[in-house]
Amino acid sequence: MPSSNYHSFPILTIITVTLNDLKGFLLTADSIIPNLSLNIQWIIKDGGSAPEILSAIQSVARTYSQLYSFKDNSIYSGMNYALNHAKGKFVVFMNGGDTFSSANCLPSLCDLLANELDDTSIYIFPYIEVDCAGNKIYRRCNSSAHSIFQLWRMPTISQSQVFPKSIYSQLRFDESFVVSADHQFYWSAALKSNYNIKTLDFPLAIFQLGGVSSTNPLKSCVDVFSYLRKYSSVGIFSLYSIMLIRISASCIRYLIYMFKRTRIYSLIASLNHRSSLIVWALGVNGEGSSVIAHEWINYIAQNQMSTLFVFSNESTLSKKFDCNSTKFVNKNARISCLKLPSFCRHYTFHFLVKLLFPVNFFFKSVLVFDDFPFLLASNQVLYFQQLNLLIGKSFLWKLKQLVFLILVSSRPSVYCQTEHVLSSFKRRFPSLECFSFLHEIK
Amino acid sequence: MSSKSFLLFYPSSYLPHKNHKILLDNKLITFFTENNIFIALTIPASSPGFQDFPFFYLLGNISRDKCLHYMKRCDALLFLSAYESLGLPLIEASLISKPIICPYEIYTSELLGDSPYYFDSDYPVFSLISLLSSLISLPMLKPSSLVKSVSNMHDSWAEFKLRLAL
Repeated sequence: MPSSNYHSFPILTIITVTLNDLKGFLLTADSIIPNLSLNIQWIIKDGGSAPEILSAIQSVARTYSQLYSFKDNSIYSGMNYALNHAKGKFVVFMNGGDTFSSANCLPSLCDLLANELDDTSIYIFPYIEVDCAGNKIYRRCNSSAHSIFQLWRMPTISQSQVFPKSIYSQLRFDESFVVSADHQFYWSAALKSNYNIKTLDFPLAIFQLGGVSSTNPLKSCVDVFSYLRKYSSVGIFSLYSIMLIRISASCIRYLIYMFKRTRIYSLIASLNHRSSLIVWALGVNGEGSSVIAHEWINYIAQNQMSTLFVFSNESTLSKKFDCNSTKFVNKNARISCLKLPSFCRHYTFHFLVKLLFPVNFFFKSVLVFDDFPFLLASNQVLYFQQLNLLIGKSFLWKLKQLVFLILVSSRPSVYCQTEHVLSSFKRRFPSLECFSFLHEIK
Repeated sequence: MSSKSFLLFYPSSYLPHKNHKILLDNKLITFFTENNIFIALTIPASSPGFQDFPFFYLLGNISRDKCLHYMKRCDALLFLSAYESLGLPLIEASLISKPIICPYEIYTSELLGDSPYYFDSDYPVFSLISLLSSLISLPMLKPSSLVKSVSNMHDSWAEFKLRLAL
């Protein structure tokens, strides 16, 4: 029976489907409950959990949500059932174990949707993937995924898709696809309906690998093949090509997933001692950029555990601070500085490192202050300060622009300080995720 | 001819797009001489053309503290750059409410709105002479201020952390 406390006309309905996973459910609940408001309806669909788990879920649900509990055929059957009770203008699925990416995420989403006058848009967001070893990877939306040969995957996971509720009166999850009904639903909506797809640039969900689609790659491939045959007008040759891509990708992902569960991987990971973050400021030498990088380095040293700062000797930046100062002495953190000789600032060395260094093998995340991103890196933010890389006309700048074009194919998140640089950057690289704000300068 | 001296400060590296060369135009040189206008520049003392004129103070590469000291002491900040990704001196000068003289460009208007004294970058010499003529006779210049909202470092870092998956 549904409990009380739901709201008549909310903006957003969150649906959580769960089965015998109390730990995962509580994780999800913790990311939702602090931000629940009159604008949000939360529906929990339990697929028939054990009595002690159900009573724990009920104690949470009694206060905050509508709970429906009975045995269902599959996860998608539970999702379809919950949709019958959705009252929000938009719907998002946040299943047991998955969470919103940050405390601000849900309020920001509601603000965004509240300003949406019509409900003809599907919103897709980046997400953070967590593997079984606990490593997080920031995954951008694959915005080119609306072409026919990208049908083997969705541009983002279903937890980072927000659909208008009106779409569910025309389409539902096809329960015959046990593993990939969310793919079928997404592509049916994207290809057949008249809804616009809007890509936003803040991560919506944290997604834990290990669900049904990660552990059943072949079933997932068969599902994709079946729904494309059933729902799309793709030719048979294209269909088999898509299938081949899908199987290859799924097998690779599955092998990586299985490898990460082995003791060998744990051993490598423990030998590796990966620091959380590398702050790369080797090429920073201008007065303005050094002031900015200096402020950031001081802030990060105070607020971030396990960070390596890299810059060059005798640069304007290195003259600004002392690694032995109290700012860098934090007993609980592993903060270290690496000062490379000044010749490393030379572009040839610089570019070779950026092209070849597998930075994620040693560090989980990379923050780059000297304009050129690493080619082989994920979880990368590029702090872009060099307008000449967009507008420089000299031969040397054209050459640097070419190198930049190659390096930027790693698709870092690009941060610009000002709107005019941001708009120039977006014009030049429309598929990259860019954002801007002017932070305080002391 | 003005008897009171007027000190401008232009903190920037000696790069082509910073437009230092504008200051060496004959009409401007004559105007500076006749009106007791002095300009402190953070370019090397050996910069060609500049060392011939006593009203240019060539400070070379100075520390940030010294830069802020000059910024406080001068009558106005002069900024001639054609383009900038940020324009840090404009922010620093605004934070101490110093008057700013700069070209009307996309980067200046985004940061400063209507608060600085703009000159026309298509006709910089004529426009600068005309602007400075009117400014040196004023008893007080209007302070500049930032129009762009500034987020604190804590919030900015939270945004970064999301994308860094930390």
